[in-house]
Amino acid sequence: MSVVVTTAVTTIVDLSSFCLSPSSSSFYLQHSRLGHISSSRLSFLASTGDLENLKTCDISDCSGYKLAKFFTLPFNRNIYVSSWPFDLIYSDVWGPFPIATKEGSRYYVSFIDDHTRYCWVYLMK
Amino acid sequence: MKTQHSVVIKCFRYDLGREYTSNKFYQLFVLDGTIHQTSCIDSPEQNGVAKRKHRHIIETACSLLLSASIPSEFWGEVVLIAVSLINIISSSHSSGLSPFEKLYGHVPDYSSFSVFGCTCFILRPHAKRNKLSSRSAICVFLGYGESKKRYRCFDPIIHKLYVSHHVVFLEHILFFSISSTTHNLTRPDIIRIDPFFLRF
Repeated sequence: MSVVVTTAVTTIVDLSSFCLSPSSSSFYLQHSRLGHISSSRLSFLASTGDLENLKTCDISDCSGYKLAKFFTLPFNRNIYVSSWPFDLIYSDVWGPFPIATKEGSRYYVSFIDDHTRYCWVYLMK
Repeated sequence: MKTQHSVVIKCFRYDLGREYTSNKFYQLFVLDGTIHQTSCIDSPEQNGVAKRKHRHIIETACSLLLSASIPSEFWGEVVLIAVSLINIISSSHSSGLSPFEKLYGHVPDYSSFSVFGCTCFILRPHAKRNKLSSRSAICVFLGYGESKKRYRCFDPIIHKLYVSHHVVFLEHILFFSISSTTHNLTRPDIIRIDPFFLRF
């Protein structure tokens, strides 16, 4: 059996290699039966003895888990600090604010220098 | 930036907002040879410094706005004053130095600061007064001008923003607390019951 996922941009991905097969481990089988439960929870259940004696194995390749339970990956803390002013400028736009100022601005744009953290702000319409 | 600090920005990091993706913006970068880095979609963490700064600015602005009971339509002035304050306050990020000190190499002048939203008297321009009219107007203090020793004051009666050096502050009296009536800035007749009203 071949599972094909069609995404919005009509890319076709063949997922047959990620499916259950007779050779799949019983850990993977239980994982599929219990609604793609997380590996740690399944290990816990196995340790309580409610399930048959299961041997934990790697299920990170499971497609259902990847497609439905994908999460944002962690961001590493940036330890780089520029050594001179104006080496790196951060910028962002804030707004829109529901109430306009007297001049009609509803946004502001900020420019922040990484070395000094000096900030320039300009109001924008 | 080029003329004031004789430098060219080397690297510029921003998100993928439409406001940044204009052709003019790119041309400016190409001209200066600036590297530009954009964050990915839905990943504000990659522009974390800017986002964190916004939080700091808005928190400061909000406390100024609420403590002075200023109407929200002055949020622009509050944001500008919050940034000028943050820039001269020392931070633990740069071992006790303020951003101003790090950039300009000298200590900022703390003497010209006043309480935001306080009442002030401003010398009215010659063209706006005759010999028998009041020489000053009562205003609300809203911030600092671009250069030193200039103050931005708003006259809610004639809806005019003054930028002047000739200002006397009553720092212990917040403008929007002197009248028990809610100030409606679009209706000057309400402000006329003000005990501090000086105009003829």
